[in-house]
Formats: sequence, C-alpha cells, structure tokens
Amino acid sequence: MSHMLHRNWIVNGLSRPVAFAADARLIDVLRDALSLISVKEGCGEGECGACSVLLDSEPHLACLVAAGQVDDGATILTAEGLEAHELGRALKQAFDEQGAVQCGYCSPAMLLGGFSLLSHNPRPTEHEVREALAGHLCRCTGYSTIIKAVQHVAGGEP
Amino acid sequence: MSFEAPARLDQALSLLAQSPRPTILAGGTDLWPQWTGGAPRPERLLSLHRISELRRLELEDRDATLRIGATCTHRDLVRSELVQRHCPSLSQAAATIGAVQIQNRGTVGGNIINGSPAADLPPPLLAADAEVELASAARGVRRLPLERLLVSYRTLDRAPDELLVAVRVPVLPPGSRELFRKVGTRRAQAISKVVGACRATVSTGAIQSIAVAFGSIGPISVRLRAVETWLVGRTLDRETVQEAERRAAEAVTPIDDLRSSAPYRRHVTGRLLRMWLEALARA
Amino acid sequence: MIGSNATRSDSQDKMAGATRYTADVHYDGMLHGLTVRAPLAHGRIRAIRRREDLGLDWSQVVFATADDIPGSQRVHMIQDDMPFLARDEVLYQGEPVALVAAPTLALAEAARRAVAVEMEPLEALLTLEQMVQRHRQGQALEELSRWHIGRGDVAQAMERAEIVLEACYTTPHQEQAYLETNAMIAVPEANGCMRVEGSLQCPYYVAPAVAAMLGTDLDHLHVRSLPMGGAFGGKEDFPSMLGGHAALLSHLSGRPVRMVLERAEDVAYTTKRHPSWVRIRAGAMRDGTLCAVDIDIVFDGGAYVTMSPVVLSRGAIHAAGAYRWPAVQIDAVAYRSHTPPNGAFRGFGVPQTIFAVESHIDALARACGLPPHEMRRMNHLQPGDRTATGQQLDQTVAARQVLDTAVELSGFEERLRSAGTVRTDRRIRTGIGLALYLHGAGFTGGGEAKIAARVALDLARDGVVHIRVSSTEMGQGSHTVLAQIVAQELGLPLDHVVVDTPDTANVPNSGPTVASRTTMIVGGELVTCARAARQRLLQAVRSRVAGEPEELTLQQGQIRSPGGQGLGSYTEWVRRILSEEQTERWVFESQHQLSPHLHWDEATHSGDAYATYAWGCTVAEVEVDLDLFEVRVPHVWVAADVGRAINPTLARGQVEGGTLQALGYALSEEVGVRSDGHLLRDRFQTYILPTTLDSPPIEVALVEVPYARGPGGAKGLGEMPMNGAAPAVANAIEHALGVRIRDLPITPEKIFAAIRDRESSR
Repeated sequence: MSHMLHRNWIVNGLSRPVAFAADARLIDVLRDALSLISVKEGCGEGECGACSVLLDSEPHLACLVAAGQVDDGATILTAEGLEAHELGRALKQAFDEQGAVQCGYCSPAMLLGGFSLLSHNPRPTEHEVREALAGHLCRCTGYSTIIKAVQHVAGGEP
Repeated sequence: MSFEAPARLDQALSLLAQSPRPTILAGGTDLWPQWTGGAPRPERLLSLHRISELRRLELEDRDATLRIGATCTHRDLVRSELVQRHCPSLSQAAATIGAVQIQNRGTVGGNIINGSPAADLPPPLLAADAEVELASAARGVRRLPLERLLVSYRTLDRAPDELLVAVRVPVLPPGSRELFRKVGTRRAQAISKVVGACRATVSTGAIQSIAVAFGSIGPISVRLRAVETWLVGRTLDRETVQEAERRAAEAVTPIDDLRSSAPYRRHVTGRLLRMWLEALARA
Repeated sequence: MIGSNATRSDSQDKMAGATRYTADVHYDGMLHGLTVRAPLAHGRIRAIRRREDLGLDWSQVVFATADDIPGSQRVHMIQDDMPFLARDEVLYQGEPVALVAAPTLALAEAARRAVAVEMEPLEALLTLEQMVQRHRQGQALEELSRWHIGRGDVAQAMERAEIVLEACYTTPHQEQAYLETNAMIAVPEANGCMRVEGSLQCPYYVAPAVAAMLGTDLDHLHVRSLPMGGAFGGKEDFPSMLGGHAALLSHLSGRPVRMVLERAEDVAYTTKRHPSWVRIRAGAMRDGTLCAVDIDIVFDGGAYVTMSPVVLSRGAIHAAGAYRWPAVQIDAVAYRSHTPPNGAFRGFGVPQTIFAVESHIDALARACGLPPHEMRRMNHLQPGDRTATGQQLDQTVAARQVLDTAVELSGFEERLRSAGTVRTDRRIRTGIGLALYLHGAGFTGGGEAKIAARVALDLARDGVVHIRVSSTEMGQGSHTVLAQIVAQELGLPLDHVVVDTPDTANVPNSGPTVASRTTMIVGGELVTCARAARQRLLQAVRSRVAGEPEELTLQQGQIRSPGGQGLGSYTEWVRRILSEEQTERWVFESQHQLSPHLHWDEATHSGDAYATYAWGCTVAEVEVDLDLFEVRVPHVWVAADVGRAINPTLARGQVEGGTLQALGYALSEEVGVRSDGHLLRDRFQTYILPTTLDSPPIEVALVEVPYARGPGGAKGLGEMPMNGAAPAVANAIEHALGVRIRDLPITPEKIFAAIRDRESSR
C-alpha cells in the first residue's frame, strides 16, 4: 500500500493540485489525474521520447520522473499548453505545412523539443536541431520534415 | 511504498541507516526502467532531489580539486565552465549520455553507483585519478579512489548505509591534455560498446605522464596501468604508438554481447589509444 | 486537388493531444487485460494453474483459457492454424496460453504473475542459420509454404554465360517499431452485440476472426479502427488475435476490456519481418548482358503460417529484380521455427530479395568491368519485356526514368570517380552505391479479384460527402488522399469531404490497408462513385433549371451554366434535391474488378503478377571510418515513380520515412534469437532505431509515369521505398572498401571482421 503524496504544480499555466501514490511516475499523474493524454508512453524505459514534457522549462522524460520529485510550484508544459504561446502556435503551423505529422504519436513531444530549443537558441544550426531532437524517435517521417519545420520557424531554413 | 525527500544530508543519512533500508533515488533514469519492466519495487524510496548541498560543484584544496556533488546532472557537467576547464573529458562524456532529456535528469552519482560496466563517466574520472566521497550516519565521511570503489561486476565497495555524496577530481594540470571517445550503437541514446578517456602530459614528443581508462571492455571500468607504465618516458614515434595499440588491445577483457563483439572491442580499445597518442604527438 | 499539398485534417488534433489513441480511451467499468505466455519455445502444456498461495483475490480477476472459447479455437487467416490460446502444444516462447483481466492494471499484473504454466519441453528449431543448414543438407523441416517460378532453360543459358557468380545473402528479423504498441478494446453493446476497436489496419480481417471465435456473426460483432500511432504492417494480422483476446475477456465478464501491449512484450511477441537466406547464382556475358539466374530462397516463417505464403510469394516474384533475364528459376520456401510467427512489414518479402539481387547485380557489374549504373541501363526491364513470371510489361514501366533521375540528382558519375579516396584530414573512405527496384502495386495475381473491394460514397443532405471505405489511417495520409481524390472528381473544396471512421457496421469491405493498394485501388473505385454522383447530381439540377441546359459545371463547390452563370452552391442544391426526394443521403457504390486482360496462375506462379509496378532508384553515399569502421550516411537520393502524386508532401513523406526504415535495416536493426527462443533485442534500448543524429538528408524526386486505372494516374507507393536503401548502402560500402557484406545489418563489427579476414588471407 502506498501512502499518498500531495503537490501543487503549475501545469500549462494553471495551478493544479494533485494527489498520487508514492510510486507514481510523472507520466501517470499527467495522464490519469490531469487527463493530459498528449504525454504518450511509447516504451516505458526512457528511449523513445514520446513522454517528454518541459519541467521548469527543461525537457524531461515523464516516464522516468518520480512524481514525488516534482515539488510544489514546479511548472510543467505539455503539448496541450502550446497553443497559448506564439512560438507553440508557429511550430504547430510549420509542422502542419511541412508534413511533419504522420501518425502523430511522437508529435506532441517533438513539438515540445522544438519549443524548448527555440526558446533557448532562436537560430540553431541544422546540427543543433538534430541534437536537440535526438531523444525523440520518429518511425514515420524520416525526420526531414520535422527538422525543416523547426528550421522554418527559426527563420534559418536552408 | 513510501516516499521521503529530506532537505538535508544528515537527515538522508539517518533514514539510510534505518530498517527497512530505503532505496536511494537520484535522477531515476536507471531505476525506473527496471521497475516499469517488472523488477520488484522497493518499500521505501529516499529521494535526494531536495538536498542542495549534493548538487554543489566547486573548486577545493586551493583549486587543485574539483568537487562535484553526487546529484549534479549530466547537463550540469556539460554546461559547467569549471568542468570544461578542469576536466574537459568529463564534460564531453556527459554530453554523450542519452540525449537532452536524459542529461537533464541523470546524475554523476547515479552513473557511478548503478555499477554498469558500460557507464560513460567512470573512464574520464579514472583517468583523472578521481576519488569518491561516501558518507554514513554511523561512520561519517570516507574517501577512496574511484578505482577501489569499483570492485567487480556490479559490485561496489559501498556499505549499504553509505551514500555517495561527491566525486573529487584532480584538476587537469597545466600542459596536460585530455581525450575522450565513446563508441556506441548509434549517435545518441546509445549504450557504449567501448568508452575511454586519457589524460596525458607530453613534452618534446615524449610521454611524461599518462592515464588511460576504458569501460564496456570488462566487468568494470579499468585503468590500463601496465600500458601506462610502458609508455612513460617513450617518444611517440610510429613503433611506440603501434606497440601501445597492441598492448592496450591485449589488456582488456571484453565479451561478445548483444551490442558488439569481443574482437571488435579489443580492436577499438587499441585503436582509440593509438589515435589519442597520435593526436598528442601532433599537438 | 490532385497534386496539391493539402494539409491533413487530423494533424491539429494530433499535435494538441486531442486525438485519442487506444491507450487514451476509457470506458466505465473497463477492465485491463493481460496475456499469460508460455515459458518454453516448444513443448506440451502439462498444466495451467492459478496459484492460490500468493494472496491474490481471484474473485476480482477474469481468467480465460482455450476451454473458455465459445467458437473457433483458431484465428482465421490464410490458414486457420494459429490458436487464440495454446492448449496442448506450444510452438514459441511467449505464445499466449491464458488471459487475465482485472479492474486495475496492478491487479492484472499480479494475476499474470500468479498463473503458472507447466510445460514439458520438446526440441526447438530457433534460428535461420540452423534452418538453412538443414535445408542445404536436405534434412527434415516443416514447410509452411513453397513456390516455384521458372522461365526458359536456366542450365543451358548458364552454359553460355561468360561470367557466373554465386553468393548467399542473409537478413534478420526487423521490428516495425511503431511508436504506439498494439492495443485493442472490446466493448459489450446492447442486444448481445459487441464492438471491437483499436489499433488495427484491417477491420475486415479482425471482424470475421473474432466473430468466429465468439461463435457469432458480423451482425452482432463489429470492428472499428481507432487513430493509430503507426503500423507498417505490424497491425495487419496481429490484431485479429489480440482483438479476439479482448473480446473473449469481455464476453466472459460482460465488461469493456482493454489490452495494451507493453513495449518489450510487443517487440518480443508480435509479428516481424521474415528473416531470409537467398542464394543467387547468376550468369552474364562479358559485356554485361544478363543470361540466366537461379535463386534459392528460405524464409523463416516462425511458428505459424500467418502471412508466410503471400510474403514468400511476393518476395519470390520480385527476386529477379528490375531486370530482363532470358532464363530464370526461383525456388522459395518458408519453414517453421519455434519463434513468434513472422508477418507483414512494409515491403512484405521484397526488401529481403531485392537486397540480394541488387547486391548481386553490383557484384556482376564489377566482374564485367561495368559501372553500376551502366549495368542497370543495359539490363533493366522496358515496356514489352517479360518479367520472371512471364508478365509482359506495359508503358507504365519507369525503370529508365528513375535510374536516370537518381543518377543525375546525386551526381552519381562524378561521385563514382571521386569517391573511394581517403580524405586526408580524417581516416575516412567514401563510397557511392545505387539500387534499382520495383514493387508490384495491389495484391498479387488474383488477389484483388478475391477481395473485390467495395467502396461507398454518400452525398448527405447537409452538404457533407462521406467516404465509406475500410481503409484505415495509420499515419500514411490515406484519409487525406482519398478525400482529395473525391473532392477533385466532384469539384468540391476539400472540407466538404470526410472519411467515415472505418467500422464494419458502417463501411463496406474495401479490403485491407496493405499492399500499397489504397490510393490506387480503393481510390480508383471512389473515382467511379464520384463520377456517378456528379452525373446524377448535375442531371437533377438540370431538370430543375429553366431550359435544362446541357453542360453544367461543378467547380469549387459552385454549379454554373455553360455560359458561366452561377446557379447556386453544391450545398444548396443537395439540400434542396434530397429534401424534395425525402431522403437523407444518396449512396453510390462501386466494386473493383480485376482488369480482364490480366491472367495469373497461382499454382505455377506465372502470368500477370500485378496490374502495375512502382519503380524506384536509391543512391546512397557512405563514409566509413577506417579506424573504427563506423558507417555514416551523409546523403541519400531517391527517385520514386508514383504514377501520379495525389499529394506530393504526403508522397515524399512516404518515401523519406520508408527510406530511413530501410537505412535502419541496412545498418543497425536486428532482433536476434536467444538460446531459449526468446527474441534477443526486445526493447528500444537494445533494438537500435536511427535517431535524428543517425539520419541523413534524404532528397526525393517524384517521377510520374502514370497508370491509367489509378486515380489521376496514381500507383501504389507506400512500400516501394523500403526496398532500395539496404542494397544501395551495401554497394556503397563495397565501393568504399572493396569488401562486400552480404548479411544485414552491416555493422562495424562485420566490416572489421571482413577487413581483418581479407588482410590475413593476403
């Protein structure tokens, strides 16, 4: 029997109280308690990146984060929260236009990866884009359209 | 399961001395895949994330030693100017672990304590003659060379009530260089097939001092001390470099596994040393 | 519409996290189902025991074995040989023997651990290597399928040949690695009915299989596809079993049951690409003209037949490659091994045989002293030539066009001359290689006649046009493309057309979403429906307009008179006409018929194998590190003949995605088999997929050599890109190093071993 932990997080800009078992992962709380289903469990072992979220502005794999380690006041951004940011909207539009979404399973996390990169490095080189997204597996696109979409938003498209 | 996250080190050490003994959780990047994959979950979790002193990174001993707190993340090592300057191969090694998300979470302490033969941080730390600092409520602080912490396959000289609190790295001496290479199954998110580091001083084309360490080539990461001894004082000409390659390849004990083959690993070990020696000779 | 890069209708929802994939779907009272699996690769089941000694409350758990199956024990497929749950004999480690379901996943997991499966071991055949050894020595093996293809007198033609080369090529299991694992839900409905839904490519494969298991029919059991996170063939046949499992648990409990495979479970136990061994003996004249080829193919089918007959068939039909051979003999066999049954994966047998023949042709080119592209130019199939099965090819052959396009796009000739030299700043050797290939579109031979795909198009009173087909959207963009085709034909804006969720209760059987057939065949039939719909609508408008003008036009949703005068919008007219007729919808249906001029004899595997072929040429540049033997692919070029690109962005997306999967096949992906029969690399940590840092820029040139029966001229495209990259890379490495690796994946370890062997034999 696990005892319950209580936290108050800022999730996609809103203050959200959560309660969860001691052995809950962040992905479990986000999906089950907060219904943020954009956070996907693709592998459960931290290899595919589909569960990536921005935790205090940095990308983390929610399937590897003990929810108990996320303290009160932590900010979390998931793909559901991108619409509220101009950069988020720009990335989504670029993904759409470039054909960077096929099955869509990697897309929410991939967008967050692009968002995080461009928030810190507005004019990345192609190599920097690839490096920033190296922890996101995509099986459908071959990555080309995703890289192009991020570069397009950065304005540095070849 | 219970979850505790003390703010102070002494509180953590007291908890660690209790029974049932809690399992220490730093970044969780090694432990969660095990638990999600069905390994038995511990009754008690002791998280280190609130203990700020474990994340300090600073020079000590009149700037002779870089003390790296155990919960410094790989990202901390990549970004730290101190690490880049005083142990650059450690910074490079941290940059090869996983990808951005893993680097934000995984810790230097976890990388060592997990005890994987393929861990990427031990080789540069061994080449720098790093020490580890272990602390327990009952006996206080104990320091020992990392080389002695790593006893055998996934076996460390750490008492169950001891917590790894810091790694102490002698700074790169003036005139010395470090080299590092990880050979993995792909260019990101890869477990090493061979990982190695070298710290050396060369003067007038000859080796003054050298430390060479490799991982993924045996049950634990090791210094190639016999090869180092052989190299000291020798001029880095073609014969020396080729002989060093041969000796290094012989010195390691790799296996065939699902990532690579023993013959390839031997070859890579020797060849990496040769490449480093050639780079040192050119410099 | 056709030829436009219309954006997908589903991308916004996917990006915002609004799309509900199977693991995101919940129902009240839903149970979590898990599979209890056999511990040994081959053996007899002695007992399946629920352990009472672990403190588990079994009253909360639904438990099922084969004894609980009301109807058919076996999963309906090509042959009904695979049981839903093993009862007496187990044929692979991990074979399902029982099922559990519980209100929480934790309880279900505990229950799964609390079921003991006791077995008595039998001898197991586990690897392709063991299989091929027995095959070559004529020892006993269990045959799952066999085909023979032959034309001309190979022995005689081989005598005439001035150069004869023989070699063997092997490929491993490849895992589809869709980001979303296999997942299915079964939901009881009113009146004893049931709905099965989930991540599945073929609702009309799953429905009859599950209905037979339950002992019911398609009036009481319907199947619908949910949004899918990729499939690539891995959700073609497997969902029939998983759907059956969920349905059985639901049937027993009266509750909705969801089953979502864990990643390690999915990699270890679901269908993979067949491992292959291909021996080619080929003869040519010194000037490079091909004379004869004799090919021996062994596919490892795994434990049950599943898709092996058709995978083997397609692999065999393509084994002679894109070439004109005066004499051909191909013998192909699939044997059973005690490993999970292999199945469909993009390419379906062709990546294996094309790897072999395109590597071999390159070797022949070298032996004849011809550059690789010249060898292809001299021998590729042309309109009027006959293939290995004796099919006479028509004007839709695009071999020359894709070859020339790829050669030019990549600067192949220049790279051929300059590559192979060591760059002096680093110890790197570069190489360039190409592969020319084809892929038959649609089902083999009489397959499309057997399927007789049916489609429906509804013009609804509210102005929405509904496409009702069983083709599923798995990321490839099929729903967008089909909507574009219909919108074009009807003269409507794209937003007027929707594709109904493929649900067997609502859509006709258009056949499975496989075999690169959806755009070409299903789209083709929708064109027929749309034409009929347009005609009927305009006629109805004519009769209501003064003077009954002859040629009304419908463009951009507006109906106009011959003089260009606007007569009203599509929506206004449809509302009015259907109201007057007191009907909610006009329904237009069409059924596919095989072109009467196509003749195929399955027994002799001769005749017209496919209505048309898509053609491709891939060029790969490699950089090989001479110290560590790591291979980097800095650039890939692909010329892809698609007949007609309905949506160029989506078409390119297929080529790029398929090419990277093929690069993974070439360089890093292999599953392997452990000595206990469990697949070796069963998780993403160990099964090596390319990341962004491992993938090259992929330059794609779409070539259009139209196929008249395809909508707008479109041919099937989805699988063809899978065929080229592996041989192109192998050929480039040979060019760079002078060693040929004939066993995929081409790892640094293999290159190191090959170079060491070459040096020690000097």
